[in-house]
Amino acid sequence: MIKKKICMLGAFSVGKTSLVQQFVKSIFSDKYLTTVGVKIDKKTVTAGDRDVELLLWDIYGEDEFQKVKTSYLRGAAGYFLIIDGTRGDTLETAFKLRDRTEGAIGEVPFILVFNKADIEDEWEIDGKTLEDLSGDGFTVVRTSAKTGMGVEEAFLSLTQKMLEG
Amino acid sequence: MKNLFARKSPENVPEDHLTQTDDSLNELRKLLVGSLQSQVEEIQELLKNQGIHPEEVSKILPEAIMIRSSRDNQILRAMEPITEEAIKTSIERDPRVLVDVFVPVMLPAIKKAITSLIREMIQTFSATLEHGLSMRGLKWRFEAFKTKKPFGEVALLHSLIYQVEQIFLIHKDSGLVLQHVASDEAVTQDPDMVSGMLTAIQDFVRDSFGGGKDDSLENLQFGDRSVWIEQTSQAVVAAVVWGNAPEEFRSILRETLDAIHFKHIDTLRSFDGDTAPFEAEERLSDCLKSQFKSKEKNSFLLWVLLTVLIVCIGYWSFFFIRDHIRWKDCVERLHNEPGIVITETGRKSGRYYIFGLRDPLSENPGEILEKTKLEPEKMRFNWELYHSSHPIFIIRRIRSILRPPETVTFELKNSILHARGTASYEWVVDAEKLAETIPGISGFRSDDIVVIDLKAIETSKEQIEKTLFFFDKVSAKIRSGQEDTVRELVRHIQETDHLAQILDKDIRIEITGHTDSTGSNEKNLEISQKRAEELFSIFVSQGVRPELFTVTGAGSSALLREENSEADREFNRCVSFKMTLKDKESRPVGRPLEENGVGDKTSPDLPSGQNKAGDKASSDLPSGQNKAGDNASPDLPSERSRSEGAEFGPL
Ligand SMILES: Nc1nc2c(ncn2[C@@H]2O[C@H](COP(=O)(O)OP(=O)(O)OP(=O)(O)O)[C@@H](O)[C@H]2O)c(=O)[nH]1
Ligand SMILES: [Mg+2]
Repeated sequence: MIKKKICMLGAFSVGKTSLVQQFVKSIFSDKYLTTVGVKIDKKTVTAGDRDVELLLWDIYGEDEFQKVKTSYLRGAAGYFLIIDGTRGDTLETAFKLRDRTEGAIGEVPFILVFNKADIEDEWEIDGKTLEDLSGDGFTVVRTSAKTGMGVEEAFLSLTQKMLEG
Repeated sequence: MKNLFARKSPENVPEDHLTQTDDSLNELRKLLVGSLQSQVEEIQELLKNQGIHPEEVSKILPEAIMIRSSRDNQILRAMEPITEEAIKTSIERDPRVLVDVFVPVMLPAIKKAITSLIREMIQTFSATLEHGLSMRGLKWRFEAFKTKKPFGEVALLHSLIYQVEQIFLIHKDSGLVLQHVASDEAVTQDPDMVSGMLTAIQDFVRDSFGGGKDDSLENLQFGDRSVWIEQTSQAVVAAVVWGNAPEEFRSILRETLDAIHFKHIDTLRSFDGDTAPFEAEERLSDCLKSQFKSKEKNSFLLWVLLTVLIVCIGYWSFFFIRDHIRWKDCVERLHNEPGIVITETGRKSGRYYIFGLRDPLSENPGEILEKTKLEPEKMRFNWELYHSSHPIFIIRRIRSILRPPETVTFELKNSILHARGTASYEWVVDAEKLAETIPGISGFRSDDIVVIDLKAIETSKEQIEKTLFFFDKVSAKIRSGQEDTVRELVRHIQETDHLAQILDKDIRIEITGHTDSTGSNEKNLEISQKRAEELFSIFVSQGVRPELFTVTGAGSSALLREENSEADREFNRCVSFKMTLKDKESRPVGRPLEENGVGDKTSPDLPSGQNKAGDKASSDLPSGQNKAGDNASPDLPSERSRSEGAEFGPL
């Protein structure tokens, strides 16, 4: 059995926990319960002809008071950088986190996830920014933890990347 | 490269040849080699220097070492003695240098070792305290003695009840589970998530409380369960343990982890999520140890046995203590008894024994033993007889020899025996003779003795036998007006009885009822019997000892007078008395143990055969009466005179 550790990284309240819940249990809640520390979930996916067990480390969101500690990242085979489309600064946080992660564990596959796609009309980040990022070689996906849109695909595509990398 | 240099250096290039070239040739050379000149000179310089240039060697040495050590370990072998020597020299010069170097490395390891040692000690200690005195403790003490292990260790081993429920082998960095084993009974969650959380907690603790990379969480406690964690640089084992495992279990975990670590070191380093290589690992399952409580059934049996034992001991000690108290009491009593001297006491093969001296006239030890309620079979006496010189015993001895009547008391003054009271003349004469034979008595004074003799009794006898009581016709009640006579007679009888006692004799008074010759024989017998009984009951009611009397109804068979007139008949309706005197059957002075039997002397006895006839006590009335009835024959007077002669002859 192949097992992979995946970290959910991003600013606070971007929907990290919601995405994991949606992916693992297909449930969503409007209530916001901030994550303290780490919550770990597990889901087995099939990528190609192989079963891969994903250990999802849902880490508390970064804010000005609490930086994400890199010790939680050790041994991760890949990670998501979650961005809340409705908050532009979460993109900056995502990149800060990417730098810190690479500093700590080196280059491992990651995906930029723009969440809350169900309320795209409220987004601060426009479509052009996303296209530019794609152009720069980043893997970019739009998801909605609420509707489930793009969630499965996001996880599958990271799995794929990890197996290739 | 080094070799290359070495080979090219020699004399193959002749030096003198160079010096012989002329200037034009030099010129030409300049033109030909030009700017290379300096390099050529450098080479020349190098060639000239036949040794190895340090500057050059320093450039290639690290590379050379690396190349060589990848081929074989020759360099290691060469370095070994030098390194050892260097360390030795360094320590000899100043040990602090190396200490400073090693402390950061060693200290954590030492600290850890000491901590676990102390923890083990504390566990051992508390186990000792807890079980040191219990029943199980005794069992374990025996086991410790048998196995030559310290008691604390054995106690700990038994008191720890635990089960290793699950063991995780975790990849340290990713927190991914490499292998997970669980006991059959254990309820398990998803091992991956548990392990992930465990790893996260480890990270959290380390981040939150600081500490180096090697400091780590070793134990998590939650309720009855704890998680024991051991780790190397690449892997972690975490064991979920229910209950109290011995600290030794940590070393087992440690060894297992180390073994796995070294076996899979490469796989661990380059772990990419594939757990297949670890799945066949069997070592982890060996750590699923457990120890359970000893079976209750056994201890129940033990308790039953123990209870029985306690009851037995209690039962035994009750009797033992009781007997012992009785024994003490017995010894005490014997000790206080005059005439008994205890020389040795003890207990031998379940029986008490007392050795000592005893005066034959002292209290019988058997009787004293009886009073203490100690079973005679539990006691053995061994008495040596002796004569106590205690005044009581001297007197007792004298009494046993002189056999005085109860009315006599003795007093020993300056070894002269004074006798007081009343006694027969015969006794006084005998006593005076016997007293001389008693050791320790130099004289006998009987001045204070009131001497009485049988003559006094003779007089009383005449008085008694003279007395008659008269009755009206057919009546069994004495005719009135005789009350004074009754009183008189009673006084005579009692006086006579008293005198007889002093003379060591017994009296018997036969009360005989009579009728006149009128009326039927049968009727007369009945009336005469009633008349005699009437008198008997009067005497008894006035306080005379009943055993003095025999009661007979003679009817009209023993008429006192010939009946020629009514007056004669009146006289014949009477009750008459007849007194006899005989020796006492047993002597009150006598002691049960009269081995010596000295001085069995009293006044000359009456023929002993005589006693039996008058021996029937008044309680035997009916048969006595029958006998009297049977004997009621005409030759009665002759019979009477015969017995009379026999009884009083000697007087
Ligand atoms: N409309 C919409 N709301 C979302 C979506 N995802 C999350 N939310 C809401 O955003 C809030 C925060 O979501 P969480 O998943 O708790 O965010 P988080 O990143 O885990 O937050 P921290 O744990 O505090 O870092 C919640 O109220 C969610 O309901 C989404 O796709 N669409
Ligand atoms: Mg969260």
